[in-house]
Amino acid sequence: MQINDKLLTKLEKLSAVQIDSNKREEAIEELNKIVGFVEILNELDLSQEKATFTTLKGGTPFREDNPHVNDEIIDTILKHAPKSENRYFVVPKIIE
Amino acid sequence: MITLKEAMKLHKSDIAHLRDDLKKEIEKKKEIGAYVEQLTNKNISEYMDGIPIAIKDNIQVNGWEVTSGSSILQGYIAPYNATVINNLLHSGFAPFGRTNMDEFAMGSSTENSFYGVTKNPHDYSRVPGGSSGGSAAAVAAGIAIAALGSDTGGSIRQPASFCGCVGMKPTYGKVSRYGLGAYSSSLDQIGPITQNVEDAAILYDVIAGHDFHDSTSANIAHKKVSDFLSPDRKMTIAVIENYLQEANDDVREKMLDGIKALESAGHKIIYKNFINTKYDIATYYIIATAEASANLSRYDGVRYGNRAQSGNLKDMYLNSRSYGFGEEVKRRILLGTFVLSSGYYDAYYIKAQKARHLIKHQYEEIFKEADLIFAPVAPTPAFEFGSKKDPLEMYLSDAYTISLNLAGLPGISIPLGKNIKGLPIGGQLIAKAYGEQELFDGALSLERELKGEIG
Repeated sequence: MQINDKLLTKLEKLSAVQIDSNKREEAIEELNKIVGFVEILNELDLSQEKATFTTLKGGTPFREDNPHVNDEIIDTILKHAPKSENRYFVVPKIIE
Repeated sequence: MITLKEAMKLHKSDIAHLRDDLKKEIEKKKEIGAYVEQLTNKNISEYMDGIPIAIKDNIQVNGWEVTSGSSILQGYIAPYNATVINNLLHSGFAPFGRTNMDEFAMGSSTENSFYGVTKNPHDYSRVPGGSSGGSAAAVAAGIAIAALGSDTGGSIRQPASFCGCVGMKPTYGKVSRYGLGAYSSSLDQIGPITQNVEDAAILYDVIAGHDFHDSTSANIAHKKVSDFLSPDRKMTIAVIENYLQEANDDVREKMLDGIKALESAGHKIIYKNFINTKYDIATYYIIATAEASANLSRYDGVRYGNRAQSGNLKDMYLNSRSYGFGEEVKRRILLGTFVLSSGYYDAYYIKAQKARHLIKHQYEEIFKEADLIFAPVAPTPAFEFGSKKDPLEMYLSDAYTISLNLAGLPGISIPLGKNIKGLPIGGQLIAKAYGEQELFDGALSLERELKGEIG
């Protein structure tokens, strides 16, 4: 049993997702079942394998650092945003 | 339904008629729920004129609501076209209708959509597969000529198999992911779901190619495959023997028919084994959830979609995400957060990355002797709604499709026939990275041989 109530609380905090109190027990049970299952990787000998993975030879390319703006995209996003004002997103107060 | 190849010969006015007829047919077959519009009683989404192609609800089409089947993206309007959509438009095709999907492509049955379920056109009590279940059901039901889906762990090939269509997942990097709602960025690829192999090759050619907007896009000039299809070429095809033994009787029977067809088409069959699929599944659910937990952090109620009302910012984040995401999505975010968190990272995430090399090596070993691999798509035909309540059991239904995503290889699901209940069963061919020509050649040869046998 890797995941208990305390660890679930930590994971909820890290991921900004909350599980309903009446579903906690079930969620813990299911997560443990999945974590228990994926632990079968311990049966494999992976000592010779690399810890990073990419299917792309030579890795991803670097781009020139050229800023570019498409106003149309910005306008569309702001227009449909939950709340915006003067080309800013409006959110609840951050500092109490 | 007219094929994609036939539709390409139509005059402009005929295409307009085709679109009108399609709309009527979509309205008539509302019960299937393949399109989001069928489930929400809205008019079919359109963008420009052209040969209509159904689009999975996680691919951006300028001005459309594109919601990845989620509550958290209600109200979001795509501000630009995905590269695949621009590619469609350049070739005379046009996005037409949003197909239903598991929320954020997380699922194997299309039961996890905010809009409700999509039914399998062959049996309404069964799932169409997932996560591109809407795309496959639309093609199978004759309410789409062809569709685009996305495949992270089998999400194109498995629904194609369940619905009796052709579904193809390109080599990682062959098709731009720019404008695709990200689930697991190192695994996701967009691909075609069609009525036959040739249509899949045509649509693949349209969407493939380098794109500077996607830094993981392979910088290789695209060589068209559909112009050079040669089903008569003879190849060595490796059958994965242990998969054949594990699959259920119906699937094994159809796979044996497939092997026979490949043999009578003149291909050489050899038998190989793969490590137990449990290791593939374990590796996949660590890597995919880890990447998902990062990718889905962008949905926080600030810039787009649904915001939960709260007095302070922290609660706004928490409430928007907790109300906006469905159960499976939350489960995968928590799991991904766990495998990446301090103290567990090495034991889970790093181990899975290493296992990914092992899986890729296995393919490389087989491809030293074989041109293609032939394997089942899913362990069973389409299952009934609600029959896989246990998430782990649902994950196990992806057994044969996910190793290919982990290795970045191309694969295609081809209908092999139906079981006694009339449910379609598919088999998949797998090729080397960038081996799409071999893949389609082999697929076309199998399709022709099977059609010849049936007819």
